[in-house]
Amino acid sequence: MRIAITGGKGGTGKSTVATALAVELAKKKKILLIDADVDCPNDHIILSIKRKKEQAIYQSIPKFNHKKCIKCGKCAQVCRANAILSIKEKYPIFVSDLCIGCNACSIICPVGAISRTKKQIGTIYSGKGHDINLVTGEMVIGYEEASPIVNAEKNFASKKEQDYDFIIIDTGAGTHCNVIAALLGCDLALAVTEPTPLGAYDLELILELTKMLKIPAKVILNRSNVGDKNLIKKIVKKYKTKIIAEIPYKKEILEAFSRGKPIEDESINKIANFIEKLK
Amino acid sequence: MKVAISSTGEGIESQVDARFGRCPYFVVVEIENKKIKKIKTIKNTAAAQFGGAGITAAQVVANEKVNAIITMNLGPRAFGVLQQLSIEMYQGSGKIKAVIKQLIDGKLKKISSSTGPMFMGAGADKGRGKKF
Amino acid sequence: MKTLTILSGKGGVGKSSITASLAVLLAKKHKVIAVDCDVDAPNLALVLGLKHFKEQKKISTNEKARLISMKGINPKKLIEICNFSAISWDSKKKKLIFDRFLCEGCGSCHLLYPKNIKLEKVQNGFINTGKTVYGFNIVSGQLKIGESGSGKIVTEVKNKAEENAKKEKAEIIIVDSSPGIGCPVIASIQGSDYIIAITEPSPAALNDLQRVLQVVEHFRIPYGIIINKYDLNRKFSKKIENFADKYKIPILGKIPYDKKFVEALVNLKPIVVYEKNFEKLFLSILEKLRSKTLMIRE
Repeated sequence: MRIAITGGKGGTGKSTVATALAVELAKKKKILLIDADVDCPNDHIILSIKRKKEQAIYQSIPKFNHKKCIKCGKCAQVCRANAILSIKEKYPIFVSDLCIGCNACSIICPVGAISRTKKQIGTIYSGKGHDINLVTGEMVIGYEEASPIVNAEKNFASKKEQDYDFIIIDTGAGTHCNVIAALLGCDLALAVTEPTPLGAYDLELILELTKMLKIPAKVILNRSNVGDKNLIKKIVKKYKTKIIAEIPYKKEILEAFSRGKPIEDESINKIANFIEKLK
Repeated sequence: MKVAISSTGEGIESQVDARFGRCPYFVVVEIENKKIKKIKTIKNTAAAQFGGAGITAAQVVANEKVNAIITMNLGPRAFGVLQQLSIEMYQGSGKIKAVIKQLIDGKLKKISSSTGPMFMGAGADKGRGKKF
Repeated sequence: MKTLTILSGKGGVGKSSITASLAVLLAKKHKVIAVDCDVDAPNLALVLGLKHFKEQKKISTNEKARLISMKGINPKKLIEICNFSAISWDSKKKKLIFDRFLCEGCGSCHLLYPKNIKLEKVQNGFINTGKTVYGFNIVSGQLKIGESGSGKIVTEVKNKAEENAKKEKAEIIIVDSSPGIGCPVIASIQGSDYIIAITEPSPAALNDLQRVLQVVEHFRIPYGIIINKYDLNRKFSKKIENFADKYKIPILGKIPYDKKFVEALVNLKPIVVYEKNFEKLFLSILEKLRSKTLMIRE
């Protein structure tokens, strides 16, 4: 069973909940934690797990054969990522950072001058600790598209999935492609939010997204005693879901996080119970 | 030799604009036998562009068939494009007229790799793409 | 006109709160435009107390492939050409499936079968414009749910902001970016004159700060940092300060943790408006900023 921890807004406590929940569930079950916040993965830091490099993630890029190239500029015309420039009487100029790895330039080249090579866009790491197996994907600095890294990471993990009772996927912030890639194929999404107008606004966005992706979603209210709970209740009611746990704001929780440790709280037990009953 | 300088205004009395991609003008100077032969100013059509201004600006100067550019701050993508076009890159600041003289006298520093120093702000001794 | 961009790597460290307060203070002496480039989860307008925008413009920066006819298509060849696994074969229904969530609109399939597959524009976002009660305009982007292309939307939003800034003769564009280091963040960074990176004293936040600063370094834009909630872990704050010292990164300010920040958010007010006592701290940040950049006048 795949459970995504998400939330829309950044810093609501996704990684805090994902790591704490994984630690709690791992006391009885076999748990695989996938850190899909490939922009800024942090689960290994919170769990103090030393990561081991598993494999590099590559993306296809074009390779230009100047001996064959007739400088027609068609490759630049079809490149929708604007990664190829054509300047009169010059060979095509390639901006590797912008290439998304489609085949358009190779297909259009009338003289077969564009073959394929690859560039590294990310790395997959694995690690163990607290009886959890962790898989982390990390994007190369300066690269823009996070979803291929999330997909590669999920592919890597899927080979071992049958060995586990639960797969917990910690998504990045926001609602764009990397979050969509992380959510696809999940059986349940837990949206972590906070009782502020910002939390409420972003919760609505993520619940709209999970609805569109047809993934059932439940809500976890973090820092539940700071702010205005009614803001969240309204959204929860609108999307006919419920708040399955409330994590209070406590100095001990904050301190644990700032020391780089998974948190322990009865609210986490509550979430673990909820999930154990699902299977 | 034909060189384009990122500029705050028109003509060689203007100052070098610190930015390459988003400078308002390029002053294009032709140099022959260590003397200025011809000066013209072109508008940088990339100036108002937020994404990819450096790349477009590199195209603008390449279309002028220059052999070199002078600027202060060069982004990584513009650097890559200029390098592929074999256009030399120099670092200069101050009045354009003076910078041209420095170029003629061989006193300008080349921007030769992606490990050059940061030009402004934080940590002047750091390389580009610094790993902390 | 100068562009000041606020980012953080890690989410929820206080970007929008700090951006809003800086904007309000800057607007007392300068003509300012505030821009929300966190198009996935735009919150800046809310922090500035604006619930409804005056104007909304639909934008389309993306295309998606659509199958028109199967005539002459070799399905296997078509499935192979798509590098994003967006085309698959449904063996039960015996037909090709185009997954719109996975399609990047690259056009490879269209180039292979120009007559069978068309690329269609999709509306993937909005640009909202409004005026805050503090007298300055805000331009805010919004990604349409389930769509992709947030980076391109950010660029559109910034172009709209610049257009607006020219019309209003604004001196400063202040940009609130999204968390992370991917396409929306890179699009936010590009064309900026100065970057403020916000962090907080936790190992996760420092790790994310370092990742995002590497991106900023990559684009060679000068920057400084603000440590928010610094007193939650003074020892770790010291570690961040040491890191900043080592690499000569200016620390523009240290902001203490205070429940008033959450209260201010709930009341839809920037902290410097909600609690006047914080004005001095934020003015000192602007003062430091002034010495680092030429963008802000006395």
